[in-house]
Amino acid sequence: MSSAELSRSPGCLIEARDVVKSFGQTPALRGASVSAAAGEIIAIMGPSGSGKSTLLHCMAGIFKPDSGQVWFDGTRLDELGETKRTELRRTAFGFVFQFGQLVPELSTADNIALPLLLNRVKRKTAYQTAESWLVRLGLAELGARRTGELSGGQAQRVALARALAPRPKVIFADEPTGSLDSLASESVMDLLVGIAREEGTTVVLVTHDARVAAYADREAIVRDGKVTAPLDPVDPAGRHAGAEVAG
Amino acid sequence: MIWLGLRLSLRSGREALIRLILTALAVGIGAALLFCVLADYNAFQSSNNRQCWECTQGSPSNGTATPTPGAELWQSSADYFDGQTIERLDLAPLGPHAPLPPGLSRLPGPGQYYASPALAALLRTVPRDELGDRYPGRLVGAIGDKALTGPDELVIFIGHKPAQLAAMGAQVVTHIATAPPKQVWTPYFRYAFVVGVLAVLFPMLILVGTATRLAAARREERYAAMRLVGATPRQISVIASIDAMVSALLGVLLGIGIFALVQPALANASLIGTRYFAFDVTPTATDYIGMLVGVPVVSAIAALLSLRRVRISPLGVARRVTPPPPSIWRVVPLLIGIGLFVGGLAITNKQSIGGPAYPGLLVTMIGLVIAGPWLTAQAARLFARLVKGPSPLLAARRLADNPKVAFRTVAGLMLAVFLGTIVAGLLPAVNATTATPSANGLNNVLLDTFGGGAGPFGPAGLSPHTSATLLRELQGFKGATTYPVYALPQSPRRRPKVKPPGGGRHGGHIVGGGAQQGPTYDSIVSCASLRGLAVLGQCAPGAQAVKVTASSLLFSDNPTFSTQPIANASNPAVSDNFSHLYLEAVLVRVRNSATLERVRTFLDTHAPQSGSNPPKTFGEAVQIRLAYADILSRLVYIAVALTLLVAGCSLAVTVGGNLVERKRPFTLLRVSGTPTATLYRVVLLEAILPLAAATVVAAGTAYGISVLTVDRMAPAGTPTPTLGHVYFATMGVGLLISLLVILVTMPVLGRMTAPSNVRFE
Repeated sequence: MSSAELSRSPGCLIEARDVVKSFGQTPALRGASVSAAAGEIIAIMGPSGSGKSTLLHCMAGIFKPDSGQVWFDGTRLDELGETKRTELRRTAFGFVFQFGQLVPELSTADNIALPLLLNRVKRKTAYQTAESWLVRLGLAELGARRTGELSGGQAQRVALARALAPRPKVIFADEPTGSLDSLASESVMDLLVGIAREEGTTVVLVTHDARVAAYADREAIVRDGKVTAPLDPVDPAGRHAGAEVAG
Repeated sequence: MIWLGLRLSLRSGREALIRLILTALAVGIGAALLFCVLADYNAFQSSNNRQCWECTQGSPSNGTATPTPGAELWQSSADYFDGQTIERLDLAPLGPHAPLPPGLSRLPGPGQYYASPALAALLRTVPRDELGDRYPGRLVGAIGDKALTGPDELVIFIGHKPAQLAAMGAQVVTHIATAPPKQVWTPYFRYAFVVGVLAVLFPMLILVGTATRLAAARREERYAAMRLVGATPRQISVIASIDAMVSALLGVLLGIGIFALVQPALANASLIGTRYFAFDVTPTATDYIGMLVGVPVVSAIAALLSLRRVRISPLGVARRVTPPPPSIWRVVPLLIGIGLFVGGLAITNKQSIGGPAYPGLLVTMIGLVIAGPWLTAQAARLFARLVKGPSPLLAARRLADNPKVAFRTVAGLMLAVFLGTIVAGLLPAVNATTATPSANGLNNVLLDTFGGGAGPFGPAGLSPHTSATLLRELQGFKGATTYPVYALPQSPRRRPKVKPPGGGRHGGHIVGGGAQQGPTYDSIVSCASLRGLAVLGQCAPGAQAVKVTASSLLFSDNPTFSTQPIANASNPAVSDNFSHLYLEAVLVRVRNSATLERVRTFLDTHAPQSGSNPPKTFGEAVQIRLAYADILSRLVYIAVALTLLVAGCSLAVTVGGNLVERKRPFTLLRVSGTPTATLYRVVLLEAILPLAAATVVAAGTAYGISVLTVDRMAPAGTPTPTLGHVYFATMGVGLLISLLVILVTMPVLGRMTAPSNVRFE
């Protein structure tokens, strides 16, 4: 099937189709498909080792799938070179991971300004933007602190601010509350979802926590490298309506 | 990006600052050492390029002093005091505008002399009858630096009346030589310096590379985080290069500071036996610029290469798969090198070394470095098999996992041990061949010759009348015993050629003196003299005096030849009536150094001197010949010591870096109950195992090479090389420092892995 034939699904901002990915002899994804519309929040759930993080990495252009397609805003992401995918990560995507995504040697403000600086935004503008995000996320006092001096919840809020600072179209969040207690988890998720809805940002959220998944509009379950239909609706009120899953 | 790189390098918190300081310190020490070597090399070059006024050649004066404008009478000669050479120049202008030797503002008048500062100091402190009486007149000034090779050089310019100097056989000179001297040994010293620079440069490159990769894992995490937010590989390369260049540049600046502190001490130290002028002991502007540019560039290249080795992906450091273990083929270059060397030795004779031996030595050194990882892996496996327990298991597994990295740390030490062992093995043999037992027997015997060529005496020597007076006065010296050597009548001696012309401080020496003349006797020695100089042989019983062949004794400066026996029972006996014989030479055994100098002063002033062969003891002749080997050995030992020092720094940086990188697993091991002592042992074993393997193999190979070389080249009877105290002291101190460096990191390990540090992020 040609690229023209495989144009993106109507209304989708990002979509993975029949994605296959192996690491050596170990298959991680065996034809997974999932999509998300602009401004939508989807949760990808599944047991440990099911391939949910690999699916997120393929959608974000961190991994190139062995086969299958990844579309972003009308563009075949899996056909882009490393330079273009890097540029997309810098301009259109934001990332919030469980840990390890902050540069420990830099201050909180530096970390938030970093993607802007890498994108050759003027230093003054970059730091002004960083300051505004610090205020918005309740971290105004912590701008000069190094990330090693922050609590887990504070560090995740800084990561969130950094992910949002370039005003991305999609935020990829891989277990963003995995290392936090329930109170801090709630705080981080409230901010992530609240700002995403304000900004109209799509969120692809990988989690194994049903309480976190409950923040999403739709939920997909990954098992043995394939996306299956949701087993249990997170919200009986019907927020899952329209979930598009394929297996 | 440059701003961000600088920001990350300079303002990234305490840990990054400590890393920056450690890296800069390591590079600084290496740079300072290289500056020292370059400074001494420049001083050596500067000293060798100084004007060789002693090389001045003139035309014979034929004993007359014809007034000539722009000309002067010139007689250059050498003398000795306390084992040091004194350059003596006797001068007399033949008219106005006579050429002025360097270091003088005007020519000394008759009865005046100029002395170098070192000689002037000696003249002030040493009793006149031991030195000052040799020079007629009074001191009127100091010779300037332009005429000297260093502050310790002993030089004197003595003024005379033209007629007086013409009678001494002086030459007429209209132009003083300005070119630097042509030296037989200079190229060898230059090669030795280049080897020294390389010997320091190689480990220093390892040090810079190691320092650049210090805490690489932490930085790789940082780069991965930056890649996640969209930094391109190019941007990462720029940041990594700037990071490496900043620390390297600070290191070189620190090195310049350290060098400035040690420069006065370096200028005062006579590292190769010669003290240079302080203003010469300095790197050139090119050296400074080269270091300021070169070291940061090398660091940046090392950083980029290390980035190439690990692919920084947005999810962290995806290291290449564990490299395959080094194969046994890595030993092949070493075996080829040894084979070439042994092949070269097979066609080596007493006169020359077989051609393949030189590349063999080089290939052996390269082969050692190539074989090192394989040797390390084998040592680790053997150790794991022999020693049980968690520490050997952890250490051996890690070493076997990546022996290349483990060996890289000790590669410099291995080469230092290799070079040091060869030098230590060969030098005693070289010294043994020069300082023969018979030479030692004549150590305190002064030789002064009077015959054999043009000069103030005839071809046969001093006339019977003059010699009788001389011998009578010599007998008046307490603590001195005189043994005359007379010329055989109607047997004018042909003095062996002296090469190269100019003699004196630039290494002139007599060649061909060792050639045996067969039964052609040319001298007469009393049997009483021979009894006093037992090493020269004995007469047949009942003989009073014998005919001997004394050429090698009198005219060779090589103790191997000059101290061979000249008489045995078969030498023809002659009458002991010497009153009609010309005195060819005197040998004077002296009891102490003061008597030696008094006798020498007496001979200088009362017996005409040939200039090129002033009175000296056989011990001094040995020392002069050994001086070259001594300088070379000093150079190599200095290179070895510097290499050990730089390699020690590398080891410190590597061990420290490994600790920082393994903070997490070590802390987790401690948290899970592993005793700190176990971790100490792991770190120690990881450093000591490659060090021990490298040392044993390098020392063994080098010692084998020394033994084979001595066996093929040294005269029969030369003992098998043994490694002396200097070797064990140098190697022992070097290895001890390396071990201390490792031990110093132990408290750091304890603190760094405290269970309270379990929170890593």
